[in-house]
Amino acid sequence: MICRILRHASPDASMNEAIEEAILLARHEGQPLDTVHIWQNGKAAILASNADVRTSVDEAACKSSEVAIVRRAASIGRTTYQDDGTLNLTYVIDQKRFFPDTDSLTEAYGRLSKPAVEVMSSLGVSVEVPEYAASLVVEGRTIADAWVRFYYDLMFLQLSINVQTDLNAQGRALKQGTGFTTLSREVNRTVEIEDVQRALIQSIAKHFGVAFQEENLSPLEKKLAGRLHQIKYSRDDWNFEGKAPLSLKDVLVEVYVAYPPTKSCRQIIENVGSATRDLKDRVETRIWMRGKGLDGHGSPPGMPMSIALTEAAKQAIVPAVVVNGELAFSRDVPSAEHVERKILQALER
Amino acid sequence: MKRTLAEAPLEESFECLVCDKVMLRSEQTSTCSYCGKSEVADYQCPDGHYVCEECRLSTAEQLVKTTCNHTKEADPLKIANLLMKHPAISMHGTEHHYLTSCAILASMRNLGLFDIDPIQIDKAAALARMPPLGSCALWGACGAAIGVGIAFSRALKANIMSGEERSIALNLVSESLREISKLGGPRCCKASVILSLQVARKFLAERYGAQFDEGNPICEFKNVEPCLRKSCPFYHE
Repeated sequence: MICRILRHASPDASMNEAIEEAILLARHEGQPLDTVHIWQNGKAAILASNADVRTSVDEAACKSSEVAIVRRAASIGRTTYQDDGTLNLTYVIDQKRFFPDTDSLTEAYGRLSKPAVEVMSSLGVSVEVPEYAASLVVEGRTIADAWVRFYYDLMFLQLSINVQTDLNAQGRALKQGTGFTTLSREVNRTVEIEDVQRALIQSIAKHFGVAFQEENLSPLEKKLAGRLHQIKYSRDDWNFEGKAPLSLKDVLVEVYVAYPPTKSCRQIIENVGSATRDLKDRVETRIWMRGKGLDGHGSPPGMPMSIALTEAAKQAIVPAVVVNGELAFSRDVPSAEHVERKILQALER
Repeated sequence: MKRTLAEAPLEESFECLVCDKVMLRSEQTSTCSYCGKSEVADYQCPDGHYVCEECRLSTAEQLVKTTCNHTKEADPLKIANLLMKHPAISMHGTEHHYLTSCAILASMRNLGLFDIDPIQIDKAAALARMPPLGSCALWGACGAAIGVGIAFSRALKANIMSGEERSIALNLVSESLREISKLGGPRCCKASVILSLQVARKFLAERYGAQFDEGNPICEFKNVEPCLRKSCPFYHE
């Protein structure tokens, strides 16, 4: 099995989060290889996707120490601190291709953690791997944080390994900044990041039978990363309030129809299609089918309905059209002109 | 990457809501499996199932009432199963409370045991809507079990001054709750409905000689988290 190995990182922590998400999206859009991304961040407090910034980080301390505060999109994982003593190992993989013999996510997580555990063991550090995608610990002290995210059939797992992380800085930056350790501390000498990196790559290749192909970010990934940085990761409403944009495009139109679609549902789909024909660069359309998910193929992980559409579904408002998170049409069949007018209003905002 | 529906024409085949077989485009007149209306079908199942446009757009309560008013089915489990397959009925939710009572009333009507009209179905649904979401945990009383009591109370015309009728309703709720409590958690509305209807069926069989299919029901909603899987008596791999 061939995997890409990527070592790219930006000095900007928010751009690094954008890159990580871009790798995931690009893989779904047809980039052929699974990726092992091995990289380092600058000083950053990385918030979990649902973390409250006020209870997670000391904003004043972060500001005075020039620690960036960025939020990650991973749904499983906690807030942590990184600096140039931290080594990040990110897998972006097609879970079925990587692990054809199991559907179990906990088993997949356990296997993906093994190379890191093995490398630490080889240094004399005995690591426990908890069952549910949690951090790696040494006698109760966290030595590596883990984040997991799913997107369609893809699994994103990042292990953030404290090799020589400055734990004092961590303690100042995070409100819950104790209970951590580093590899260097555990073995009582400075462990070099390059050595850990080299050992990890060898261990991954051995464990999963992969041959690595060293490649940089693709043009698609660069484009996606740029867009994600612009609309999400550089913005306070994401980093500080957790408000994610609904779409990579300027407007998201969600259409909720019956299964199978009735005549009126088909007419709505056609009218929305007409309304958005010349706006495809700026408008994304998603069609949800009642009880059957996106395009009638289930609800893919990482692709939720907007809150407005979820509410409409709960109230059995079908058909319904939601434009940028606001219910625009309910139970009637708007003309293409009406739909276009709503979209243009949303574009103007 | 596969094109989305927004980018490609609508597919010409869909899975039947009743039996999962592939439905194909049709221009024949068909009868709705839920409300009995006849109309020119757009999609039809090879086994003859069809869901009319109105039923596809129904709310949960409209669907339950319409179906229970129309159906000729005598087995409340089959009525409930048909309802639970419709997208209007979510995996878990308060619709299971009135679905249970209305299915029992429809069954009793079709068995010829009681004269149940749409007003009775309406009233039962109104009462069975009352237990809130999570009443199983919040009240210690599952709404599906209460639905059994409501159905028999309506049919037997029980009131606070009644003797046997009131006791029957109370006993059936009690028995349903006992069966549901044995299952453990987390809650599963599907299993609660099946267990409650089994209690109802048993009573109808013992008291009125009603006959139903033998054998343990098999859940058709398995593996939707948090499924009890092998802990559930209706789970089948």
